[in-house]
Amino acid sequence: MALVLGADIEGLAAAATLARAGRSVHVIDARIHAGGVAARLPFADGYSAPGLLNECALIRRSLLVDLGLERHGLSWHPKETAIHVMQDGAPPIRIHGERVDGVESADAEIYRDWRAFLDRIATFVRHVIDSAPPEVDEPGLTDLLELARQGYRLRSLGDKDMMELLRIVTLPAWDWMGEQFSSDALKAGLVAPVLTGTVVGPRAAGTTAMMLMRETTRGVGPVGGLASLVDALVRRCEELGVTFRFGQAPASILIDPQERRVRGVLCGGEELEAELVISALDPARTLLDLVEPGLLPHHVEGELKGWRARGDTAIQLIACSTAPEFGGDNDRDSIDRMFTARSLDDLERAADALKYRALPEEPCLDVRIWRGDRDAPAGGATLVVHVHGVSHGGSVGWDDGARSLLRDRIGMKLEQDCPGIRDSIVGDLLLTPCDLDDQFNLPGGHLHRGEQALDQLWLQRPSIALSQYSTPIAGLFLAGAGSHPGGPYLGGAGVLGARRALNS
Amino acid sequence: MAAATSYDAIVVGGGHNGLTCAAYLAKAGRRVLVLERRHVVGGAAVSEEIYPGFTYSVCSYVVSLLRPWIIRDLELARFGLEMIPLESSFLPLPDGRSMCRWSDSARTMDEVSQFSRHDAEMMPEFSHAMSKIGRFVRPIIDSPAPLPTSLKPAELVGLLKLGRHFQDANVDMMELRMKLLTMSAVDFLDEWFESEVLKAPMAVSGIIGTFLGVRSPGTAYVLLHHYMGEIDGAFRSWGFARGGTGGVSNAIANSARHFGAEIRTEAGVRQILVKGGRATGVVLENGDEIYAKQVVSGCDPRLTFLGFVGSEHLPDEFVTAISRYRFRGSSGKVNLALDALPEFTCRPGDEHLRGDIAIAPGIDYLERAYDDAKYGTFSRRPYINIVIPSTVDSTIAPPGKHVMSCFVQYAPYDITEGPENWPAKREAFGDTVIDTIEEYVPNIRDLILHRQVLTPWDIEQEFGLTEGNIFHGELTLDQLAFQRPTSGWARYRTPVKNLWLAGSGAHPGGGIMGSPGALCARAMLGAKGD
Amino acid sequence: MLCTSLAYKEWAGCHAVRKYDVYADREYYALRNQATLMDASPLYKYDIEGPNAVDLLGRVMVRDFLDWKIGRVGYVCWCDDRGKVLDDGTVTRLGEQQYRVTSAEPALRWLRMNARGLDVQVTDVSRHIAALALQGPLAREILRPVVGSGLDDLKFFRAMPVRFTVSRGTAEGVVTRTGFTGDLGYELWMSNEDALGVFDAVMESGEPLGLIPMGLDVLDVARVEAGFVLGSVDYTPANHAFIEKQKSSPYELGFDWMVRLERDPFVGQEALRKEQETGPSRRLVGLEVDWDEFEAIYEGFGLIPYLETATSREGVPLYRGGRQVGYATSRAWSPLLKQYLALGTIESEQATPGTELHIEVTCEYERHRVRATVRPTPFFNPARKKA
Repeated sequence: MALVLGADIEGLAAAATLARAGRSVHVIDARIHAGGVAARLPFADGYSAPGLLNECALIRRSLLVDLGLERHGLSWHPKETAIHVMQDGAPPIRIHGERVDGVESADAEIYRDWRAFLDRIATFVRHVIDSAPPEVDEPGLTDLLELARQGYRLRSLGDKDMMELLRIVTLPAWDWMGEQFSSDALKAGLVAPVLTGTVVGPRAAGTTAMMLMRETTRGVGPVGGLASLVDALVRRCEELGVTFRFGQAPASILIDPQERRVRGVLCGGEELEAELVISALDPARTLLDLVEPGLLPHHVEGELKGWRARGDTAIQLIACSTAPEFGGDNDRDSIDRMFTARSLDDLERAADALKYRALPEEPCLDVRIWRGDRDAPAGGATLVVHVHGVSHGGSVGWDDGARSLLRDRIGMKLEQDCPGIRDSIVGDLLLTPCDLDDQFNLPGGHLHRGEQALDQLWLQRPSIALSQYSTPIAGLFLAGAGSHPGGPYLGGAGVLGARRALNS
Repeated sequence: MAAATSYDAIVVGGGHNGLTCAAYLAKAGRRVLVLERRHVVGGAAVSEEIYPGFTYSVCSYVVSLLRPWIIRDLELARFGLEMIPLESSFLPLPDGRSMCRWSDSARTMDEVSQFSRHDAEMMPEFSHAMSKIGRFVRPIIDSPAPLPTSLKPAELVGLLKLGRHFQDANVDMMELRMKLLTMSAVDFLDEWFESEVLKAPMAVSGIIGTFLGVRSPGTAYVLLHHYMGEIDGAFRSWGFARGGTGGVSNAIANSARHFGAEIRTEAGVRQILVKGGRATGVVLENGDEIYAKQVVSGCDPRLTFLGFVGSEHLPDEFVTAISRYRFRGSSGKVNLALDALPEFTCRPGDEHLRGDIAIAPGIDYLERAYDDAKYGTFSRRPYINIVIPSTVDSTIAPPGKHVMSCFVQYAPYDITEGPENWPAKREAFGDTVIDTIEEYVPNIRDLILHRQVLTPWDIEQEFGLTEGNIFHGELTLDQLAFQRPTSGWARYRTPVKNLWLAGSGAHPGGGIMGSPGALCARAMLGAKGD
Repeated sequence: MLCTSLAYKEWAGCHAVRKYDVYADREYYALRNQATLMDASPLYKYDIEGPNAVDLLGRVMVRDFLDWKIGRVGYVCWCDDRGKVLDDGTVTRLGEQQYRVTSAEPALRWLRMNARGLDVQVTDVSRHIAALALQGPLAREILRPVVGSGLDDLKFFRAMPVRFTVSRGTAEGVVTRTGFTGDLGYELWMSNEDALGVFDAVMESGEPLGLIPMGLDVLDVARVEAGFVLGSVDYTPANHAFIEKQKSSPYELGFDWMVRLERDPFVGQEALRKEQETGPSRRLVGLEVDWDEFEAIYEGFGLIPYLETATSREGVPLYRGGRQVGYATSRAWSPLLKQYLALGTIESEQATPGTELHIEVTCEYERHRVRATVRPTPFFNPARKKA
């Protein structure tokens, strides 16, 4: 028997992978249904959000392909979702894969060159993202081969691209963008998506690395949002005989202390026996809270204590009776996702608020618009608004004053870019990092169970000793968003972690 | 006028690295000429009597990383180098408390334990971990940058040596090193310590000379870069040079002269002559031309290549890379002549004033200082690193009087009004610094006999440091090791034949280290077919 | 009582007397013939209290404490995850849920780190609790008037709460029948404020019997006679080591008897299990340097050997058949046994008592090798110690 802790996308992907290999699998989740933040969330009469995440195009399709989800109702958009960035006194610019519209021709040309560079390095980056990180402590033959393979791929980029990649990988996005483009809106539109999940602004080193990952791996999103991916995964799991237990959080992971081997999980006062336990919960919670203290080596414990998962984003779901028209521009196709930041400085200032645990004075919004019929009545729309720069608030928590202040500031920003929108709002739900923590089992209120930062990626996600999904406890594996590739690279950790467990 | 004599090498810029390079070349028997634009040698490592009776270390004010092998090779002790160790590191706090870290670790632990017993116990363990890492880093700063992508046998051997360092340590050490490269100074220190009183003054090492905040990723490495001074022979290797920082430059200059180098001051270079892709000599500001087989620049990469050489002699890609190379000076300097020793309200007396004094009362304080700079103004309440070297060196001030040197961050070169408008804000900047100090030393204003304020603009204009960056370019990960100043040209050579780079803009970077100069000379002496 | 030699050394941030006279012999003979009193207050001391106190100790230490009665004291060591010794010290069970740990190195962080998930309080009492070591054959006679006749029932490695009779009343504290000299002796624990009074009371009681204060130099000789290893001298604490080779396991240090493997997990258990199967590759042993050979080398130069009453901590190589097989870390002349003793670490194959090795000796700046024989420790083990 294999137990999977957590039924979010990673947990479901892990469960399906295990079941497909013939294991009998039981999934435990404290919430009453599957999907976590990716699940459909009804929040007002007739309105729902098909998942809380706005980054839907980074799903690791290449890893999920084996699961055959398309047979279970999953379909993909034919095209990438365009991003619009609002400007003052000018129509919004539109970033759409290989093209950018609404900027000076010089910028448009540089953008093409820039995309060409990204395309050249894409194979290398994708390979890194879609493979389990190699063991570097005591590397075996396969690890050395894998390292050599990645080294070879890197070298085969050619001196020029390779050196450029090495140069920019630690660069702040602010500098990288500054070297390329002159349009403030374009820079902001390219950087804004990678800030969710970090506690930094564009001036921080590592933001370029996050951009490189995003730009080289992004594809198309599932039709109907992440909720459709969740639905397909659940159906596939059920077909494979996976059983679910909802509404009960695991109390502890049972371990034979002498063998340091997993025995099962204590859940709802019941001892569930298993020879494999795959946790899609965050790494620190799994190993520090659910494993009896004293069984982990100190360096592993120390690394986990240093695991940073500080919430950085608040989400407001807004029900609009009429679909809003941003930027007052109806000529082009309708806007599905838009950013309100005008410049990198706007994003930086919003991120500054995190340092002082204050609310951003001028919040920068990342708005995903879901039009009727599925998630809103015909003609209406559900807005999923992400506000970067909002911290968990620590022990003080969120009082009504702070909540309404944030709501007001979001409303003002929306009104700026879509005058009159406030009159069409018929309901809303504000989810602060505190709420995400409480309602979605996300420690710290972090959407990805661990900050995206250079020292928390790849070999170091969640730490060198744990980055191959295995733990010092035999039979216990980590396969959540806190493992590589993690974060918004949905499905990757679940599949790679489950594969690792199967090979052990 | 054509020069009557020709030299084996001309060194442009008589800063400590240029001088070091010249001394090594001269010691190897080369005919060397050093050309310095100012009336004194030393560049930013200079002592000047700006106010009668008071000698300021105008720019650089402490010596930490000067490599022991350079002191040995160039016999610097014989040529007048006298180092006075810093005895303490003092942190006054606005609430009347204070903490002092001493060279006596037991005493430091007692001080720290007043704030956190946990942190006090952590300190020896932290030092141990840092010295372990130091062992790993030292070969990097004492040898040319390894080139990770080369397949030449010599390079591979070098990499293997580094690899072996990796191997003999266990996994937690490796984690530590990887983290150090990519973390912020604060996140890194958070893993060790709990008290901000300890973390804040330690974290500032991570931002010196960079346009980053203590919470910016990558600053943990810079912290280590500075911590090296404490590792190599314990805390005590941080020190003052007797007679001011210029004492270091003078000793190197004396050594160079002893070995036969010629040093000319007030001989500014206007242009480096390039013919057929080769450097052939220089043109002075007065129009004189001097020829040499080799030309070495101790100046920063931007000034050297885009100023003295000219982009027409350089490949486009190289010009782009040098234009992208980031300087962004972020600090200023205020030097004071004082009528008496200042007294800090939170801790009267003078024992704790013989080292450095940090105005860094908290992480948020430092971050707010950075925020001001990000949006184009100098910090309203800056981080200040104060030293009063006259407490241990009687040669730089009249009896009973003192010299106080204040390193101030952040003072961004690129203020909103434009860097050329810095002169108009110079005194306001100086006042901000004094206002800040006044919060700890209420009578500081009454003690000031003379005040010298250097903004990043002044540092650029007076010392030729582009954008006022004291390290010839930011110490950020993308501008270090094999990428300093740009990938492919980290071995002191340049795209112009016979032109070499020996300043802090070359590997291993800034600080009074001497390594770039010495390693450049070594590369030149080992070069074939020139 | 004045430290006329002015010989002090740093000990955990304190100035500690090395020897009171210029020559330490008077202290040495007092220790072995009457008694001496030493201030051991710089020792690190931690109070472990709470329902899970015993679990914390079990988790950290290589020993098992489950069957310990109140009043028991034990010598312990503790390891890192790889089973390498971090430090050694003592544990005393003071009460139902109350223990005290002494250590040579700071250990608060380590203890607290391991206390995760346990209901236990770890308090650093290093600077609040003073320690006095009263050691020597007359220690009992001297201490009896100060703490009462209950002392006579105090067995070896046991603790008892006491009320010290001092000049102005009494002071509460604990007496343990322990010490680092391998002789009859007691260690007295009391709060800092009471320490001077207790010191005076003990001195007053002991002076007629020949009690004098003792410094660290003689202690260092006595502990070699007793075969006690000293951290940072005979082994490098694992967290101070720069390379793996510098670290030592409990088996290498001869702490085999302490290690209880078959119980709940403790720090280093897995590694120690493996090592127990294969056996350590090195062993810490006692050595006796052949005095006749040693003397003969000096005679060759027309000299007579003289060894001060102190322990040399300078490591020297040990050879067997011309090949280096280890090193000696502590060397001391025992004025009592008239033997030149050493503690050293050697390859396990050579560690059997009776094995003849050679130790490097430098005389007149020339290197020589002198026979040194592996001996069981303790070298000196008087019956009165446990009687």
